[in-house]
Amino acid sequence: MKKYWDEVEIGHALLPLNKKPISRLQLAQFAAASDDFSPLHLDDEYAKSAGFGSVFVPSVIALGLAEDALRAYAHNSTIVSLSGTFQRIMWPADTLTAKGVIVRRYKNHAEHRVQFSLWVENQNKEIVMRGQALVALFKNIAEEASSHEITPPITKATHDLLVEKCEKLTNAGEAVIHAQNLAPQELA
Amino acid sequence: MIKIKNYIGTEIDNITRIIELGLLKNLERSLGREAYGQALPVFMVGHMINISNIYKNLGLNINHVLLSRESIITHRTIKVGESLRVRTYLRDAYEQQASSNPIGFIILESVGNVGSDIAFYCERVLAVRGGFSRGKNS
Repeated sequence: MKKYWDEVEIGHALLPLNKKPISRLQLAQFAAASDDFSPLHLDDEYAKSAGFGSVFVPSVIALGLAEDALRAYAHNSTIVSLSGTFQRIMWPADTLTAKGVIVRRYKNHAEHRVQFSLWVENQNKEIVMRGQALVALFKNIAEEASSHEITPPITKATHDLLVEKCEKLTNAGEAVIHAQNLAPQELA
Repeated sequence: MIKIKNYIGTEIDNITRIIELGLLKNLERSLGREAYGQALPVFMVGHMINISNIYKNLGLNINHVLLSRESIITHRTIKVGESLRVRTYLRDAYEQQASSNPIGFIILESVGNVGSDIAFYCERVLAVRGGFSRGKNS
């Protein structure tokens, strides 16, 4: 489905996205995709010995469901940021539903943005994840038609802020590593 | 014994991966999804790190570590066939007393590059059951 910034309003909800019960096969497939073969998600005996009732579902799968719900709502959108806080362990055979609602609608650096509050529930209506997403939409059909992109581009001003944030991090990290590699007499 | 706090501010992982179609296919199956096409979904970009290597470098026992929070900023689609370099830094590590046992919190920051382009920034908060002394690798 396509959505445009001119059409959406605060309070609009995502269509709840329901999934089939999570199988152990899905856990193995996720391990292969993430290259994270933690036995806590794959080996029942190991998980029990670590104090869990059985293997459990990697938390980030809930964030993936929330992203799917966003894309189902507006596939012609650009996800600028996505976050989730994981509040409850998910188990095999749990049935998850991703939900969300628009909480803010604004312009920033010529981008037309909407902010969503997101959450994922299990079959008992218990919230397993709460999150947020910032999404850029085309203003209207005319703007989409005049764009060379299939989703709204990120402006240079927005990107420059990210570059600055990342460069501060990488430059500081490299400086510390270099200092640690120096012999004591070089530090004197 | 590794003192996690000594690593605050340092790079603790640096990995380069080619995004393969098989990875996306496994993701689609694991989420019961029809197709991601040729692009890595946003929620997955932070998982392109070598998490087992990070646990090893920080001396953490995997049995005690749970993902508590994940936050991603992304400005560029990462497509099949592209080479993604991800550098991960330890921003902070601290303990808080829970009802009976301490819980350790580890904040990781990752920066993903495709060539010279910054593709994403990811912050992850890991919770270590029992705190750092119990959660360390034996």
